[in-house]
Parts: sequence; C-alpha cells; structure tokens
Amino acid sequence: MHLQVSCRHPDGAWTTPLSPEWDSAATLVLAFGASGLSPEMGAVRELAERFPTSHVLGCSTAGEILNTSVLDGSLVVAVARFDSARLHSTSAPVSSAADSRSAGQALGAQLAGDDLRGVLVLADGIQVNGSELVRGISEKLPRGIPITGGLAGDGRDFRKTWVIGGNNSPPAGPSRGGPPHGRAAALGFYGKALRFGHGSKGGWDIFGPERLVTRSQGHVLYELDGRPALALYKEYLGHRASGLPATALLFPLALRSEGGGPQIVRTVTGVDEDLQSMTFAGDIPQGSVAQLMKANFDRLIDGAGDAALQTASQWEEGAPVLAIAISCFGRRMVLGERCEEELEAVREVLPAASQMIGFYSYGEISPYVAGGGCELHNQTMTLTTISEAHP
Amino acid sequence: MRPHRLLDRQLRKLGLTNGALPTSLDSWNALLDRISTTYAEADEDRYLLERSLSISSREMRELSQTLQSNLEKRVAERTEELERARRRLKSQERALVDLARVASLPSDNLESELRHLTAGSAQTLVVERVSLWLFNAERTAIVCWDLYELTGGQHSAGATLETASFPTYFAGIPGSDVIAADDAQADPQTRELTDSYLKPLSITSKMDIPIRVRGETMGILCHEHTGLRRSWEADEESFALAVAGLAALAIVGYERWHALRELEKARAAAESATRAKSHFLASISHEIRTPLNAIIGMSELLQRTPLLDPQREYLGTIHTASEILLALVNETLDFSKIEAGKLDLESTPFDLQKCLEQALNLVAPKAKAKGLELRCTLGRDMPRRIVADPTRLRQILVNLLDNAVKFTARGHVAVTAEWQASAGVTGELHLSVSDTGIGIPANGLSSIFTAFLQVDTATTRQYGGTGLGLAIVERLCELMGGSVTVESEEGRGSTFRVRIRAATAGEVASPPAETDHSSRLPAVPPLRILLVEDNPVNQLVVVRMLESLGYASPLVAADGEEALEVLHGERCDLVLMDLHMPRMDGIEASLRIRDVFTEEERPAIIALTADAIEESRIACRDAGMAGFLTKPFRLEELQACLEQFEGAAVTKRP
Repeated sequence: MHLQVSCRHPDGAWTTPLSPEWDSAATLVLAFGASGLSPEMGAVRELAERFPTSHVLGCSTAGEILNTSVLDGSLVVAVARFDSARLHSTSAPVSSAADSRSAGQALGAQLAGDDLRGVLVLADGIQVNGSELVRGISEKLPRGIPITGGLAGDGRDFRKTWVIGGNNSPPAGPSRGGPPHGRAAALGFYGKALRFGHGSKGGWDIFGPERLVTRSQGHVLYELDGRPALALYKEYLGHRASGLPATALLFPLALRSEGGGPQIVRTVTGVDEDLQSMTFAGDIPQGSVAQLMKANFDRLIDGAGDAALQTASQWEEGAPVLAIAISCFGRRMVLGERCEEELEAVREVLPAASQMIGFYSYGEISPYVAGGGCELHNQTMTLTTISEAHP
Repeated sequence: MRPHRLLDRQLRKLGLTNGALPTSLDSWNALLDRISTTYAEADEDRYLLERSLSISSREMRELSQTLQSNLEKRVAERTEELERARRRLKSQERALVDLARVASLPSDNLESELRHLTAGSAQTLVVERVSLWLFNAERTAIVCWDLYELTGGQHSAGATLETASFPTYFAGIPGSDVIAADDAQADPQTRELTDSYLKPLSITSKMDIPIRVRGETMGILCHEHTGLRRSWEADEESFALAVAGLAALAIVGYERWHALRELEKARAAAESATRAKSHFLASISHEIRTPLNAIIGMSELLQRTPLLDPQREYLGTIHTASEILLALVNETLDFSKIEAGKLDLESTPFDLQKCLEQALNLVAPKAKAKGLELRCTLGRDMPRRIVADPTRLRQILVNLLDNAVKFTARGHVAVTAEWQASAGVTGELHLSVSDTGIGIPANGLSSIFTAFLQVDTATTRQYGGTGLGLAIVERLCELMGGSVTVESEEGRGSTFRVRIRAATAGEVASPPAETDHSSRLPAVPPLRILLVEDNPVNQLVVVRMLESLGYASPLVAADGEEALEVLHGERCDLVLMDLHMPRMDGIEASLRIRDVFTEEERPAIIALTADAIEESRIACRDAGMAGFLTKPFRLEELQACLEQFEGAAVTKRP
C-alpha cells in the first residue's frame, strides 16, 4: 500500500503536494473538510477531478484531524493506493431519520461480496438516524463484518453537513453520486491481504444507580423509573446542574439493553424544562437501562489510547497504516484546548509507519468490541486502521 | 520513583521528560495549571460521587419503606383473602355435614332427600338455580326431580329434556366429572342448550356434575347462575362434587330401603310360618299326650291287677305301643325344635351322680326284665357338681341307655363318666355307654346319626323306634359344645362316647362305686301330697300311681282355687300341679302359694303338663315351681322326681 496525507490550509496552500499519478480503481482518497467548504466547487471538486478513477470519500466536520493536530476551516486528505486489496464504494440519499434504515439496507446490499473485510460509512450528521442506518447496513452483510465511520459535522452549528463519495452513482455534477446533503456514502474493503482494525472507547466514569427508561420516543427521554428525567438528572448533578444545557456535554448517559450487553454512550443535545425531557444524539429505546456518566480529562485521554490499542491486532508489521480517527464533537467541547492530547495518546500507540487523519463528528460508528454488532456511539474516540499485507 | 502514568504524560506534553526542570516560567505555570486542574477534577468527581451516594442511599431507604408498606398491605390483603376463603370452606364443610346426615340414611322418600341437597347447594354456593335430574329407564330423556330457586326459595319438579335434542351435551356427561362453563352460552360443552334452555331462563354460567352410582351415570346435578357471568372456583367444584356424591348416596339409600323392606317382608313371613309350625307342634303334642297319659297310666295300673294270661299279653302290647307312640311324639318334637334352633340350653349346677342314677333308674326295669346287668363307674377326679344342662344331659344318657338295653339280649350295659379338667373350672365330661349287644355292621356306622335312618328296615320291624334318637343325641352334643362317636363290632356290642364341655361347681364326688341298680326298691315315703288336676281320668291315673309306689293317697283339688283352700286347711309337703285348668291355672296357683305361705310352710310344687315346650318349663320355674313332669309320665319318672323331694321334705317336717 502507498500512503500519503496532506492538508490544505484556509489560505489554499497544501502542506504536501498530492500525487494524482496514484489514481486507480484501487485508490482511496479520503477527505474531511470544514462545513463551510463547498463540496461542489473548489478544493473538494478538484479532488474528484484529479482522481477520476479513485474512490473519493469524505464529509464535513466539527474539526479536522491530521495526525496530532486539530484544525478548523481546512481540508485534510489521505491518498492510499492498494497493491492487492479491492475497493467498492456506494452511496444513498437519506432524507429523514425514518428512511435511515432502508438507506442502510441499500448500502449494505451494494457492498456484500466475497472477501469483504470491513466497511467505512460516512453519513449526513443532521438528517440521518445513525443507529437505524447501521442497523440497515448490518442486515445485508454477513455477521461479523465490522462497520466503522461517523456522522458528518457542522462545526458547532448543527445546521448543514455534506458527504461525498459513491462511485456507483451516475456522475451528475461535480461530486459524483448525487447531492452532498442528506446522503450516506459507504466504502467496502476486500481481499485477503487487507487488514481492517477498529477500536472505540469513551473513557467516561459512570455514577449513580442504573435506571429503567420508562418513557421515551426516538431521541427524546421523558422518564426514568417513572420519574421525570430532567429533574432526576439535575438532582444528581447538584450545583453542576446550574450550567445546563451547556454543561450537559460533560454528563452523557450510558445505555444498555435490559438483558445486559455493552454500554453505549448518548450525548445530551438539549433539555426541555416544560416537558422535563432531554434530547440525545441517538436513540434512547424504552425499556433499556440508563446510568449517568461524568467526564474526567485524564480518563478521556486514556480512553483514546485504549481505542488505539484495540486495533493493534490488525496492523501489518512494517507496513504503512492508515489510521482514521473519528472522535465525538462532545469530546472536543469537553477537552477544549487539551483535545490534541487525545490524538497524541492515540498516536503514541500506533506504529511509526502510520498516518492519521480524521474528524470530530456528530456520532461515531463502530462495533463496540471486535466481532460484535455495529452501533452508533456518542462521546467516543473511534479508530479504524487500514493496512495491507505484503504480497 | 517513576511519576504517575498521567503525570508522566503531562510532563511529556510540556517537554519535561526524564526529570528535567521547567525551562521557563511559562512552562512552570503550565505545569501548575495542569496539576491544579487535576485536583479540581478530583474534587468534582468526589462531589458527584458523594452526592450520588447520598441520593442513592435516600432512594434506597424510601424504596425499602415503600416495599415494607406494600408488603404489609399485601400481607393484610392476602390474610383477608385467606380468611374469606377459610370462612367459605368452613360453611361448605358445615353444609356438607348437614346434608350428609340426611342423605346417608336408608329412606323411602327420595324426593325429600334430593330437595335437601338442591337447596343446600344453592344456599351454600349462592347459585340461583340448582336442579337434580335423573335419566329415565330407557335413557331417552332426563327428568327434573327437583329444582330449587334461591330467589323465593321455591322447589319445583317435572321438567323433561329429550337426550336426542342435545346430543353434544349428553354425550359429554359420561366422560366428565365436572362440566363447568363460565360462559355457558358460548362454551362448546353447553352451547347447544342456549336457545331452548339457557337464554329463556337467563342462565349465563353453568356447572353440572354427573351423578354416578356403581359407575353408571344416573343423572346430573346442575348449578345455574343468572346475571353477570360467574367464574366457578375450585372449592365450589369440590363442594358440588361432594353434593353429587351425596345425591348418589341418597339414591343408593332409597334402593337399599326398598331392598330392606322386601327382606323384612320375607323374614316376617318365614317367622310367622315357624311360629305357626311351633304352635301346631306344641298343641298337637299336648293333644296327643293327654290321652296317651291316660292309656299308659291305666295300662300300668291294670297290669298290677290280677289278670288272665291272654289279658296280660294284650295289655302288654297296648302298654308297649303307647310307650312307643309317646317316644315318637317326644322325639319328633325335640328334633323339630333343635332343627328350628329353638332349643335353649340351660346352664345350672347339678349333681352329676344323681343325674346318672335317674337315667339308669329309667331303664332299670327294662334291663331287669331282660336279665341285663347295669353298671356305672365314675372316674376318680369326677366333681360332684358340674355346670351344664342336666335335663338334656339326662336325655342323651336315656337315649343311649335305651338303645343299649333295646339291642342287647344278654350280658350288660355299662356307663362310665370321666372328668377331663382344662383351664380353671372348665373341663370336658367324657361319658361312655357300652353294651354287649348285636353291634352295628361296619357299613352302617357312618349313617348311624342320620335322622330317620336306622341300620336297616328289619331292625325297625324288630326293635321299633323313630330313627331320631341318635340324631337328637348328636345334635344335643353339638349344642353343648361336644361330640358323640361310636365304635362297634357286629355281634359283640357297641360303645358310644360322648364329650361335653362343662365347668365344675364344687367338691369332688364321693369315691367311685359300682352300684347295682337292678335290686333297688323305693323306701316307704312318708310324704303328704296334694294333686291338683282337673281331668278326672288323669286324677285317677296319678292317684293309682302314687299308691302303687307306696305313697299314701294324695289330697285332690280340681283347680288352683280349690288347691289354695285345701292348703289353708291342711299342711302338705308336695303339690303335683297341672298347668292348664279352669278358674285358676297352675302358674297362678303357684304364684299365690309362694305369696301366701312362709318358706317353712310352703310345699314344694311339681308341675304336671302335657306341654313339653321350653317356654312352659321356664314359666314354671319363674312361678317358683321346683320340678317338672311331662305327661304322660311313667311310674319310674314319677318315682325319680318324688325321691328328690323326700329328704328335703323330711328335714322340713317338724
């Protein structure tokens, strides 16, 4: 595998010139850019023109990641040309949370095939219900195929995101595969030589007792153990509740299904004093069990390193590794200036021949542990590593 | 010491690896800043954890209190529920006990029994309609024997359902213990009844119990609820099952009552027939004995007068024939009494030696006439007095001795008596009667005790007899808890051995003696005797008998009243009292004598009657009579009887 990364600063300068001669059907061009960039013109469009046969995939962010740097307003790009692995990309429109599952099924159906090693998914961060999308894709793939990725971001604004990619769609416009908003794109990696690693970790501390979700609808939680959710939440936060809703980021909710299973994390995106309800960046199924969480800088940073460690079994020794870091926008808010430290914690673990790009997202997609069912997470560092065995 | 992993990272971030000192104020401040932040975070963490802990504790406390109070409430509710169930079961139990009391007796009034059951079940289970139906004989229809309606408390009956009209319902009855339908109009078991039965009567729930007798379904007990549908409880089903069981019992009781009535009728008829036979035998024997008495008595007396030889011969024949006739009558009567189970044995103490002597005395004249020797041997340990029935024992001995004398032409007849003691006073009396007579052929031994059978018809012709004597002996021995056996050799003689269960009563008998009865003669008795007898012929017979025995002529009275008059004027030692007399009979007279005279003045009374039946004997004893002679009696019997009283009378005499 040949690998190069580069970054185009807001002033238009590239840190490293791109290598369009690598353009091929086995070339992946991965791009994460500011939501302010237009996917239909300028630098983003240029990528598609310079790599016409490659699989160009990308989305808008709430912060771009290039190795240990966090950037805003830039476009970070990784170009990887595979020696023997095969690629297949596709996309589907998603106009609402309701059709997320069927869009996922459409993507999954396109990608299913021999030697599929893993799937990378990027989707609209505003209009898509990530949980349903992942469910749809999983339904069409054999069990155990890992699906990783994330939901596109829009800085701190939550207004509009874009997604590009999907070679199978007809070239109708500057970004191949249809309009960039309300869209999900997926890329399948195939071949025996391909190594697809993934790790995902929150690093949040749980506290307080587990409580049953007694009333909820979609992303909105109304009652825990028959009591108004917001009142209960505030009671536990004490004086820390005075900063709501801004401080809500520091106190996500851990969820698991009643029968057991791994805990996943849901970030609070809003509260409603009148209804005493809370809105989350993800489903809160009624009947599941919830528990409060709190942030601790050191532990969050440790968590990122742990996510990197989970991928270690899939690194091809001595070969370059493409690490795709998708971290939660919530973590960036919590860590603030110290968010580069979580990237450093990851980078310290990865082998020297690695290059890391990624973005702060509105939701991360990953199996919680290797081989498990794929889930949409919040508040995690989700790391995907791609490498190729020597022929 | 290596710094903490997290501090180590902070230091590396600031470029302070390997224990390097901060190179500038800025980096020093940055380090302090980071350390300070970590402390602040630790504080926050602790704040949240402590807060969550205290809230959780409070919630747990509250939860525990809620649980406790819920639990208490639930326990109270459950207790109340159980109490209600207990009361209900108790009332069901009481009702069942009441109903069972009525249903389990044999009764002729089945309708009334069934009414008890329907009303009892309706009231206990609070069911509007409880009805009891029984199949007709052809099982083509089921008929309502009783319907009780709770509202109004009315009973009615008579409705009929054709089984052919409701095939599913009736087909289900034999295989079910309970047909319980909470929604009777929809339930497949009872749905068929909806239009013609359930709807018109507003029945919503139904619980029917088949009534089975000896495995056969006789009918059904129906519980029919009106109004809102009702769910039948298990205890209600059990109760209804028990009531259906009681209904089956009532039906069985009814059948049993009928069977008992039939049995009672048959028994009454049999008893009346037996009574009639008994009465006939008693009266006929009385009627026969009275003239026989005259014949025997007169022929005996006549024999003592001077007669021509042919006259004496004819008279002998008359006398023998009449004695045979008497024996026949007596034996027939005895045997029929034994066969009818009417023979009651006495159990009194008596002198065995005397009993033997009396029996020997009766056969002594015949033996003497044939030139036979009579011997009697008593065993060494023989008690003087034993407890048994002396009359019947004597009868056994007389029968055996009579036979022995009858079938022996020369030689002797010997009696032995031995006592075989067992536990305490009880023991066995062993008697044997042996002779040197003709004996019994081997082929006749097995049937010798069979009634109406003699060894052969030639025997009958030669020796006479009824063929009942040995049968009676055997039956009496058995009644007395013993047996009789025989050993015999044809031409050499026979030995009959009798074993009878008895008890001792007092001292051992006097030393054994071999007595020669053949030469025994009566002493001259100085007794003063009153004869009470209404029949002039019998009067004459007895008077002559007494005279011939050497007694002074007795005083004579024709009835009880006359006897009392005589006794008031003259003191007597002994009264011979006929029982059946005009004006005052013998029993009444005896009672008067007992009442009027002191023990010193009172004469002994001997009953004379043609009534040979046991009842008369008992009546006599109860009236204070000391002896009993059955007419016709022979001289020897009268003599034996009088001798018993001689000694007593002499000592009493001043």
